[in-house]
Amino acid sequence: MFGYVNINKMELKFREYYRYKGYYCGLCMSLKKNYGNLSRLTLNYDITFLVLLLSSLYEVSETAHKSRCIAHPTSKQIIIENDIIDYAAAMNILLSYYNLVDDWEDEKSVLSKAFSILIKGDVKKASRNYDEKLLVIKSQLQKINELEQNKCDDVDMISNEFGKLMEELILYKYDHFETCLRKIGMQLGKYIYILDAYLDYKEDLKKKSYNPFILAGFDFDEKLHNYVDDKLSNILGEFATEVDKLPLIRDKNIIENIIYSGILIKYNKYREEMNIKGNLNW
Amino acid sequence: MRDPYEVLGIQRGASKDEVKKAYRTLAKKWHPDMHENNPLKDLAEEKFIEVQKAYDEIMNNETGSSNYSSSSNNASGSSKGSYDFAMVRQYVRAGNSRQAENILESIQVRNAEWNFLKGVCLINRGQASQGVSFIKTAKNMEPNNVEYSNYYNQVQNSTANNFGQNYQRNVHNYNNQNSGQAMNCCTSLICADCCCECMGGDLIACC
Repeated sequence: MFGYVNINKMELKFREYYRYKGYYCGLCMSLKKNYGNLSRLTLNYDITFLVLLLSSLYEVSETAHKSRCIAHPTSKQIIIENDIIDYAAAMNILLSYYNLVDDWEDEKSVLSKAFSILIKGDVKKASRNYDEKLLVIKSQLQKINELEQNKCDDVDMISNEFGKLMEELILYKYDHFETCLRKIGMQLGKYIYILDAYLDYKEDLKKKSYNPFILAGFDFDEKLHNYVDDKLSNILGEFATEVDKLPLIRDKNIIENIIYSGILIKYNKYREEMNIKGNLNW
Repeated sequence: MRDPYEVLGIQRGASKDEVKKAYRTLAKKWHPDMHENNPLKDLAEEKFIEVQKAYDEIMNNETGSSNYSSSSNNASGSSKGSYDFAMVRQYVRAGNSRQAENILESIQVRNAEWNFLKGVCLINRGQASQGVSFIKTAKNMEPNNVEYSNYYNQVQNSTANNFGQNYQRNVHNYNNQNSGQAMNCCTSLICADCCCECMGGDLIACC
């Protein structure tokens, strides 16, 4: 995951900000409690969004308490606990582990290999309760890897596979909301993958790394920038429409903040730095 | 089915938030877990499903993007050719787009019908923009096919391709809603200061 699905802090009320932090810290604490200290390095905003969305949808009962932690040794932080946070922590571990294994196999990243060995025990623990999810995560990452090895130049095709991965992660339960949640997961996954490929374009060009835009023949020019702006607008549009169909009441404002503002921050910042105009800024 | 607004106990024209709150209250009331030891458990379950369907109907109509499997009932028309395509259509009608797509992947012949059905599956799975291009391909391969043209027009007129523009508009509205107020606050303070100074006083000493 890449940390794109974030809040826009400036547009949140204090109360909402601390609630979001409560989930973020809650996720960190759940990782620590269930999987040990090292696993906390896998913490990220994208999974925090899933926690927020699912906790709102299922209105699970939760407890909150204040606690100090290694990242905040002087002041106590609010920490929320609920079942969905524990679920998300497990998904986080599984995803991070297999991503790291991928990095080692692709780029021979020693750091990735080292880290993956260190959290292997955690992964075994997570996979015990979620073996079906594990299979899907592994298989999707494998598919993506294969497509990359085969130099896939179809941005839709490869981002769809990441979308299918997100679909599985978002399905905490298989119920009446499954169809809607699958669509949300798919669009979210596509957004993350395509945005990442776009932001990595220049570096991938330099390092001769895999990039679907480069392979599709795009130069870093107006054609690419307009294509990406349209594509991401459509993807986020479908994403927002589907989220709006869910009966979300709890934390609705935080979720809207992410969907209509926070999720675009990294994208807009990059475009501003590169002096590229578009339709998704304000 | 009863009028969905009646089921949820709300007026037509209720806001989306009101619909959602009404759904939550009733879903909680009739949730199967609340009636495990109740002899009328089956009735509760029926009510629960009725509430869910009512909610879905209202939300799908509000956003204007209905699940295309209902409109694909019109696509039941003559499936000229293979048994495989008939199977695909059956799965689509049953709402099982994944299985339909699996069968499509195994079919070698990528003719107009294949493209059309692929498009329908993608649209049902929430990938409207991609689905539309497959439908377009089918239409171009067989321009005289009424089924493909009708479906294409229907999809074009829906919000499928307006998702992007609607979203952009919502982004602008969300992010600009507070800036107006901030500006007003500053300008009103400055005006107040000027008026005060005209009267011989001074509201803000430094300007």
